[in-house]
Amino acid sequence: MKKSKLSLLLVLSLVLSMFLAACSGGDKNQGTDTSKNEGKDKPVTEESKLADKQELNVFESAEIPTMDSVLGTDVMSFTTLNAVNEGMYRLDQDQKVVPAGAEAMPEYNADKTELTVKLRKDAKWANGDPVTAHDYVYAWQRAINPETKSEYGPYFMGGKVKNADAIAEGKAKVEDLGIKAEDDYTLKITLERAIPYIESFITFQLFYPQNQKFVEAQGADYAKDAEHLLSNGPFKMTKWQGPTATEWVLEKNDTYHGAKDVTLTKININVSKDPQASANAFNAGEVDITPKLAQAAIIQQFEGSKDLIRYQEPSLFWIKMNEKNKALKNINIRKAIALSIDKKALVDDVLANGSIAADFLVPKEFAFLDGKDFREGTKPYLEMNKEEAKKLWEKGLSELGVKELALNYVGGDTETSKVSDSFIKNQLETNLPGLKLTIQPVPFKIRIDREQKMDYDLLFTGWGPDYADPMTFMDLMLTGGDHNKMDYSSAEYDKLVKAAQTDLAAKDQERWKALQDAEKILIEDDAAIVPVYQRSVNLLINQKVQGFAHHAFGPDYSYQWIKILK
Amino acid sequence: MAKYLLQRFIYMIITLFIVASITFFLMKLIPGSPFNTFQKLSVVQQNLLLEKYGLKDPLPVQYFNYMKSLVMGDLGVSFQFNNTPVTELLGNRIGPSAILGLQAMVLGAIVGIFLGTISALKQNTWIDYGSTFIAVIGKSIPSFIFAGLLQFYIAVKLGWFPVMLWKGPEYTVLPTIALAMFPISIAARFMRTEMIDVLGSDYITLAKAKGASFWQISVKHALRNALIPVVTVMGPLAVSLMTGSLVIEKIFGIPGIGEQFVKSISTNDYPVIMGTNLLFAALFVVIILVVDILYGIIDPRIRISGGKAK
Repeated sequence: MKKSKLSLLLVLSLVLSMFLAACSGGDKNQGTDTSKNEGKDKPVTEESKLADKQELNVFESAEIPTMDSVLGTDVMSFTTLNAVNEGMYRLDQDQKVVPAGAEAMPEYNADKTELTVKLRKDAKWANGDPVTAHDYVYAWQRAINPETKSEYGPYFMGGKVKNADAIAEGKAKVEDLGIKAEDDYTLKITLERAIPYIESFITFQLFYPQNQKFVEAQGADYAKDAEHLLSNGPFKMTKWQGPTATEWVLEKNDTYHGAKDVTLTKININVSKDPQASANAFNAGEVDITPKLAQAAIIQQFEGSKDLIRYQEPSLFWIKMNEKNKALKNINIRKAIALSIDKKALVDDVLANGSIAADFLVPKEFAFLDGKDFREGTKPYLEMNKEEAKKLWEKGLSELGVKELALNYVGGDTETSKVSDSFIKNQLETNLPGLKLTIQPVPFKIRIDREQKMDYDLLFTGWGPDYADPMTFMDLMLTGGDHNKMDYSSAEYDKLVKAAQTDLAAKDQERWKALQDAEKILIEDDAAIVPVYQRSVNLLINQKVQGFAHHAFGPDYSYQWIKILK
Repeated sequence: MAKYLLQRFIYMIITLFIVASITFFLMKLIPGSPFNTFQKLSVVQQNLLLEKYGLKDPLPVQYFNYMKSLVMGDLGVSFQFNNTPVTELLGNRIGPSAILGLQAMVLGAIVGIFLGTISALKQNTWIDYGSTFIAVIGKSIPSFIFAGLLQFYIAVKLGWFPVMLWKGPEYTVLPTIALAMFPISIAARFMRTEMIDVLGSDYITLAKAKGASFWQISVKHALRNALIPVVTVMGPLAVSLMTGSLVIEKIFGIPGIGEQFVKSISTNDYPVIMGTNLLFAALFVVIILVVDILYGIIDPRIRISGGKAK
């Protein structure tokens, strides 16, 4: 008897110590955000400091589904295309849009619906052909052509590039698309309406050129493997056996117009899907850059190490409240739910990976106007307040005429989402007496399906941006919109967002203000969604690797500025 | 024999047809769509895509179309791997899994049969307890823990083998050992039980009485007969090892089929689910046939073709 009690105590103290270890790790995480200054602020001054072998070993967490730029929908495709090919513009190390295949930034007409882009004349395909305006026209038309079955073509161009929607639905010819070659090196792009973020928008891989002669010669084999690809970027792919390959090799492309600024000669990339194994390989020196590591247990092994790079990525997670449910239609109930989750404890103690608590929809360090973050000048919306929550909750319940409320909560089936979902359940049930929450952990695709069918009360979801503008988040909840799917409708919010899309398109400051006001209505006044956290990225990078650049949308990283030191 | 094989072959075709039909309708019950970007597309765009891939047809029509192309040998194209033909995908991925599975199987069978035999021969000695201990460990420790330990101590700390990836024979050592733990324990347990049983039977006593040596008795008379149950379990086990282990492949970064199969289900990649399932089913029926034929070779008392007794 005595013995069993002792062992129980032992088990308890072990569990407790694990929990404490987790807590202390979380505390340390705070304020260690070293975003976007790794490497760059330590420029390589002497050439002699460079290692003789400029070869980089990288682990990625997934295969490349496609290398056909008009078919890509996945960050692995975008990152590799960004290394191997090049569009008119690209993102530099500071996330600024800079000319790449273009000579200069575009020229606009008066109402900013027409862009003229001059292309540089020294850009070449790896087979020696010059990169011309016709290559862009061909790729854009291919992307929107219904026969190509591109998912992102209609998604990106629809409502933005002239006639894109009509062509996607087969009601117009591809030649009617709003892109024309005025001569070999001049492009004219016609938009449906002025788009303030058009420059960063067209850095996207979908808008890259394609060599018509080459693509048509390959036919169905185009982009099937490394042999059926044509590079015009800083690197060329010399080994890749197709979408199922778990290994690929990039080598410096000597015909690239900026080749003299590319130091790396070779990048070996392998797929590793197990984070602990990736960390082991890093420790054994077999890899220089690991995939993103999200698990607190692994990150803690490297806490404080200079190898660990951490930055906030613009992925935001929130809880949707389906207003088809009568109880959730009640504003007091929604506000009570929003006010009763301790998000800080969630990110510090449960996730413990550097993610930050969010009381906003547009992420931090993502959208800038004149160098000022969108988040500057906005107050936090609906910070946790247990007393207020309880008051609103009771008021809401009496308005509904009930004493108890049972809701379902659709969450993810991954380890991370299971722990964070049960934390949220605990918070809500503790702070809102009479609430009974049933968590339903489902795989990603099924969660999307239930969201589309509006078959949920509460649903945990997230979003990553497609271009560097608050609009990529802000237009999600428009009345009747394809992403709303929670029966939310606010005339005021709609008005502000639509104004930002149209009338205010050319007035940056006013547009910014309108979007900030719309965000306040959505989150504070209407409590339509409960933002939870903004995710942080943790990766291990060998300290000899300098000039690693990460991006907020499109490709995850750029390799072209990397140098390896001795 | 030829008649027997032909008969079995027809049964195999029928089995595969039933497996294909059941899988087809079961997988259509999984909610969700096979497209990665459905969340981002408008309803109009979604419908256009579904139509293009024939996913809007009524289920019986889809089933008929699939079966028709299946008979022609066309397994369709993968959704998650952007239109890669399923046959190509399976071809690329089955290799590493099969090599790893075979190696683990051979290692597992040799070590397991050896351990089981010596424990039976030295029943209730420390040798017996020792090998039973190994068998229990092999069965009860999850493979991801064992693989993780091997990786950390043998590869990271000692540096004897590469940590991960699949680039040559030395890369296969650690995953093979990790994967072999389970077949070792299974083979050892069955071998020990059966061997003890056989050693107690009359013909062994007779052989002893005739003055046959210890080795003659144990190897020639006992071991061969004791193999029947081991072969029975090892057959299907070989299929499950060769068709890939999600955990081992993930930890050692092996481009095998195990992870692919699981992912195809969670991403609603219908053609890949069908293709992989059919491949596994085909391997299974073939292995069962092989096991049945092996019975006759190992133990002449078993007749497979129902031939006349001599």
